[in-house]
Amino acid sequence: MAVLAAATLLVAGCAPTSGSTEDGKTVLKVYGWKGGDAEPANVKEINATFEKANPDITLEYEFIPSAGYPQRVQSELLAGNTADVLMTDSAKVQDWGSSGYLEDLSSQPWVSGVRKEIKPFIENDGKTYALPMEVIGISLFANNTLLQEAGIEEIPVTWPEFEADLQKLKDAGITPLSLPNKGGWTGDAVINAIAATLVYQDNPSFDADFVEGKASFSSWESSLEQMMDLQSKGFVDFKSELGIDEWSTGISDFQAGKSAFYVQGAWNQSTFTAAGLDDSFIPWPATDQDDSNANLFVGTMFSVNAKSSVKTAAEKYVEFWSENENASLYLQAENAVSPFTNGDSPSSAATTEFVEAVNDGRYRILPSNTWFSAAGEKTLQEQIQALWLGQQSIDQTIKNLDEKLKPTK
Amino acid sequence: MIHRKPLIAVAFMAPAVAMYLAIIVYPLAQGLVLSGTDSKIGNPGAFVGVSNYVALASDSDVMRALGITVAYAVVVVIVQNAVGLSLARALYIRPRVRQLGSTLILVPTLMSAVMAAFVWNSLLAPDGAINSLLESLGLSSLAHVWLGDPSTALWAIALVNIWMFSGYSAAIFLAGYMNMSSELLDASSVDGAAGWRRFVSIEWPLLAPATTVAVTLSLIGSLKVFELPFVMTNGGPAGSTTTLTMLIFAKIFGGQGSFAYGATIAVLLLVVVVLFAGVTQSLLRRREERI
Repeated sequence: MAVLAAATLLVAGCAPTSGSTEDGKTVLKVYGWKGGDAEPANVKEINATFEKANPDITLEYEFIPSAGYPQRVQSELLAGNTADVLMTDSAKVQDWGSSGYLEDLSSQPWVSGVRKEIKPFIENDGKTYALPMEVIGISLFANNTLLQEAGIEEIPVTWPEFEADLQKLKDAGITPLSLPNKGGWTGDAVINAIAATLVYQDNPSFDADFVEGKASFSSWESSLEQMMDLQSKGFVDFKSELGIDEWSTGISDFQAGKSAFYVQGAWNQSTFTAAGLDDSFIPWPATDQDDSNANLFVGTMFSVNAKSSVKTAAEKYVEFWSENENASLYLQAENAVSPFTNGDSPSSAATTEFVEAVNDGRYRILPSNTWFSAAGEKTLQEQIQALWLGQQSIDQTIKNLDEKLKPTK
Repeated sequence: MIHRKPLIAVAFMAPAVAMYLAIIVYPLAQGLVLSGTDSKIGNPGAFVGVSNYVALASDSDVMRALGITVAYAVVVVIVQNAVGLSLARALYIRPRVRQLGSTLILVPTLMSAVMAAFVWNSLLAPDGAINSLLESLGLSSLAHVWLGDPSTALWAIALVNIWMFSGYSAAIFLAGYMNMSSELLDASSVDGAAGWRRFVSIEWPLLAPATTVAVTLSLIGSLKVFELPFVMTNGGPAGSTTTLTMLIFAKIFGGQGSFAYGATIAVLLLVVVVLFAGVTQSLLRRREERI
């Protein structure tokens, strides 16, 4: 507690002085966890265009790594002095919005253009607190070169095809699938990618039903079974994967061609392309037909600090990101889908299949604003890890998920 | 003059007391107050009495983290001090290497815990140096997913803690050795006490004050462990390395902003630290007095 208080005081002492002017210009401070060296996401380019279009505003964009972002910003929010524009996500919109830290943006012109299904993620108590920047896929990457080495000419689109391909790769001495899961993230990504089809095709309102106490994770049984089949058929060793870090070793291993299939976010595609990897990003092939759903996540957002002294400039900046030509640059780098009804969703050769599924309306969005919030995701991760370790059965996992993810009032 | 002395003493003590009240007592009191509310980030919340503490008692995640924290501390305190004591004795009986050795054993202590965690992460990885070494020695059956197996993950983290801080314990024990009366040690040698016998009958009792310090510090440090499990396992697999400090962090910064509940767990940790450190120190002080 003493450390927390001291950290807050320290941060308060070092907090930025937003809104001050230099040569008559408005200084606008922006925080974000995108735009670093590992994931530039065209942020610098978009910011440069904004400054050019708004010569009266000096932009100070600060990249803060995502791992330390909540601690840094939350402490500054408590101290009452943080950036004017904050990168947020659905969880932060819920927490910071309900606490009065974020400006109500409901009257902004871009609000009406947001896709209907995205609105719950940027709203809290009927007020809009964030501009959605992307809807991004978390799904299956395929290394096309390794597939060809094993004699596989086309990427799999059905579960039987996927299983057959995994077997061919295994027979060819190629690691068929890697699911590094030390931190638990990949486990939840896999089960959600499978459930996107096996659960949500028949029951698209599962999330709302579960929150209302009308649905159970028993409808996830076939998804859990499909995931566990991967181990029982020898395509992946879950216990070994629990020792591999998904964010460092996992990504670099796939990039180095150490496995044919891999589950991660579409935001890695730009890095893979830059590294010269010939790969595809596809929906998890979960059924016997070519109709699998894409698994989507409402990613980064921009919010305005309610205490900003330069709110007009801050709102101008946020609005700038809603304009199609600016948003597209970010979406292109992120390989993401536009959250706007009239927005462009760029696709590359690698992501064609995935974007097509989205355009066909075959997708499911992770409920990061309800049971799959940060705490819910952590619970799911622990439960999947316990399942992978053989500590509990599928039935017990379902029971635990029902119990632990049950919303509390 | 006699009457002015207490005033002077108070004047000299006042800055330190004020600092102590501001930096230690005030945040502590605020934390206790916070634990009696339903405060979330940005929302001071309402007073809810002891309901957070009632929830704590039936929270299986908290009870599991408590068990993990205590088990971790017990192992670390015993092994770290045993290794530290062995190192100190080895250095004491070898005066020629003592100066260099006492510097070298402190090198891991000087490392940042986060950096140490990253280094050991790569060493303990499935294809890391430790498994490679075991394989090259023909011991591939011993190769293991150290950080991915609940039966080894916590102890692998404990190993890193012990590696980092054994030198620190050794420095404390070495100071104890250096304070021993050489006449007494010489007399014990004349009486025929040597080796294990001399250690048990002479050195170990004389090291009582150093033991109190080394055990107390390692106990407090290991009960508050955070960086190592945070970086090495993120509390996994399946929550098997989630300590109380990690749970506090998750409640406050893990997207929930549950300040009040996080503060309640922090109070629990404080009680655990005070209780364990108090009892341990009391027992060790009594031992000192007996000797």
